[in-house]
Amino acid sequence: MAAGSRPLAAQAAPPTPDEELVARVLAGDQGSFGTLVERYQDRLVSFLYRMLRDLDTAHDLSQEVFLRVYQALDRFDPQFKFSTWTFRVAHNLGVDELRRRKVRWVPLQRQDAEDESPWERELPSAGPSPYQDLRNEQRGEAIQEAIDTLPGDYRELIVMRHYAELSYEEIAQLKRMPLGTVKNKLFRGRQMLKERLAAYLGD
Amino acid sequence: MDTADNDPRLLVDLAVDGGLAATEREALRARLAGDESLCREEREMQRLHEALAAGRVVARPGFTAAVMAALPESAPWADRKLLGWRSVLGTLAAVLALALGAFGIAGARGADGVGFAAARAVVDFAASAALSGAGLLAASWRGVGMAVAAALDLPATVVFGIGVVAVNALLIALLRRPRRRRAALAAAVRRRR
Repeated sequence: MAAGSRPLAAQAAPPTPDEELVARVLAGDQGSFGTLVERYQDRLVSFLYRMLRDLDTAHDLSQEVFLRVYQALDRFDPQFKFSTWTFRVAHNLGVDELRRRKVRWVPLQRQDAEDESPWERELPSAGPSPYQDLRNEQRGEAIQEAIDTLPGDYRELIVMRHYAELSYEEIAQLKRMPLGTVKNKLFRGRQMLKERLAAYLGD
Repeated sequence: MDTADNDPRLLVDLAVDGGLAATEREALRARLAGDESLCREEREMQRLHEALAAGRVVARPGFTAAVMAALPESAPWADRKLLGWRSVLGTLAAVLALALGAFGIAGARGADGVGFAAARAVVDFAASAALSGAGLLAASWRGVGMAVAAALDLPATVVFGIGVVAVNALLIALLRRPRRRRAALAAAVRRRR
């Protein structure tokens, strides 16, 4: 079974393997790191955007991921894939950011102490929505909501597969899960999405 | 095994996601030909994939340049190397320079024996620092050794000796690790070629 091929991304084979680019950077060719950045930037931003729902933070954290990876490049263990390592750093940073926000977050509605009437708290805008350019904004929002309401582990795998564009093997390595479990969870997650989005996916 | 393994929709799901080999795809194609519900499943799954793909975002223009501009000018791993033997040699050179400087100043003043005494004081100071550090380290390890020895009912000296050898082996392994990784990386690149 050729599980884990990447039909979602462009099928063109990468000209230079990641490991070779890493070796070149370690040998003093800093420009090769630019190739790695170009190769992973869209997937990282997309992955972190799905995690955090804030495009500016997704960009900032993606830059942080690349800096951390660069600074620890000599510690890269070639028995793992570069992509897995990079997305593990991204995942950890994303989780940290979510934890930080949880501490700071306040409820949108609360009882006022004086008049006991509920009032709305104003929050700053999360920035431009990536769906603005889409013709079917309603469908975009429905997809977002459907993903958000998936159980945590299914949501995580769906984001890793469809937004980070990681292969099944990479997800299995990243999540330390058996390959069969990854396939089953992705199948179940997509079935749940399909049911919730039936109005948009039917004939 | 999970019940999903027996669900034909799992095969359709894998096929749409590019997770089936050519022969498996052929077999599934034959099965789909006579099953309208599986065909509908395939169409819906394809639409779901397209809908999910439409939600991807791309990095802003200039993102790569911003990352490259933020990289440190000198490679961090090159800086880390300096923390090894070179820093030890540098410290020794500094102590030697200090001693020689003191000796030279005393010589210039024409005071016989003062320069030698100053240099000796510097060396004695360095030796005392090294000895007290080693003493503290040994004392702490001896404490651990005694605790382990009491637990294992072994002579404290034996446990202490084993501990010292183990710590040295660990330090040597840690020092050799980056070199081993780099060799493994080079081997991985060669294999890919």
